[in-house]
Amino acid sequence: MLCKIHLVYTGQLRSAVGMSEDALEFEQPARLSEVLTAAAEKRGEAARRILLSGDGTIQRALVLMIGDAQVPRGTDPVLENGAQLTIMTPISGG
Amino acid sequence: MRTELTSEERAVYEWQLWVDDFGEKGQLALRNASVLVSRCGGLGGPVAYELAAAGVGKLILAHEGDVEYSDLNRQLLMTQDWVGKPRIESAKRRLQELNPRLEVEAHNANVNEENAAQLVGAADLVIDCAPMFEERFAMNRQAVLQRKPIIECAMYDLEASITTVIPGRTPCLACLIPSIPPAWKRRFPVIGAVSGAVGCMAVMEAVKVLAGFGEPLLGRMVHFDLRSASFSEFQIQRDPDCAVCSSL
Repeated sequence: MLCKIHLVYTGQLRSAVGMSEDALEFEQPARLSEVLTAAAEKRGEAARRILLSGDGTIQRALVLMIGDAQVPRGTDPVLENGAQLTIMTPISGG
Repeated sequence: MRTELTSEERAVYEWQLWVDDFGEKGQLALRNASVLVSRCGGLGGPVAYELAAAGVGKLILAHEGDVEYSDLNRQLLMTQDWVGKPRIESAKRRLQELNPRLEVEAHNANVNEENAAQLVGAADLVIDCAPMFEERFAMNRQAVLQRKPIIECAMYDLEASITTVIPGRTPCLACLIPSIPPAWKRRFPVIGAVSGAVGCMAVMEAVKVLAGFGEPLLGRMVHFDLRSASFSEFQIQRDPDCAVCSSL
């Protein structure tokens, strides 16, 4: 069965990709790093610069939520079919 | 420290003295409180204005520079007749027009590594409304060191987020954002009502923390997108390796 992951883009990432919601499909449950890499590949260079560091690892400044819970920093959890990943880029005072 | 409200204060705050669990005790807590707001632009301006209206005793404001035309869509403490003059003077004038009982300590400077300890030290609570991460990190470090609560609020375009930090109990700014984001740009889209909306929420967080009632956003972050009028709440965590607060 395909594993479908729902993504919510916020802040500068939403501006960069021009949408707030997205979906990715995988052959099986996917690790967070795989999901972010796939999103970067699908949505192009502007998204890649926000999502990934130069060495391809997850950008440290992102705040990532699976469902309503923050992903502990430095972990790479598996996302199951139907999971929602919210990608929060840092925002500031306006 | 004041132990009673004056008759004028009772008259001004009559309608909020009716709020359950707040009352005269809560009002006195606000009257005796000092709050640092950095800066007082699109976000900090409504924050300072609502704090002044609510009856906080002292505001410490830090905001450098002169009023520009491009401030006026969102910086509600600035007026067109003040273009070219210091923002901080316009802010102080407007706040004391609203609340002449308010003490305002106005600094024509932004928070930085040199002044953060003194500014945070003079406050009971901090509301972070600054656009630059350098300012925000400096305030966060001092708030953690001095164990001062700090409300973290931020916005972009039609989105905003907010959480309340109690050092040692809840995630601090550096737990969430450990370094300056590489893609960050100083100039970004703002409609003033969005920064005003999250600013009002920040003031309610401050009022609850200072007056000791309600349920502040501890370990929780609210994010909203007014493009779709949707609100989300997330559970957030302290970073055990946080360079700022992990030792607490």
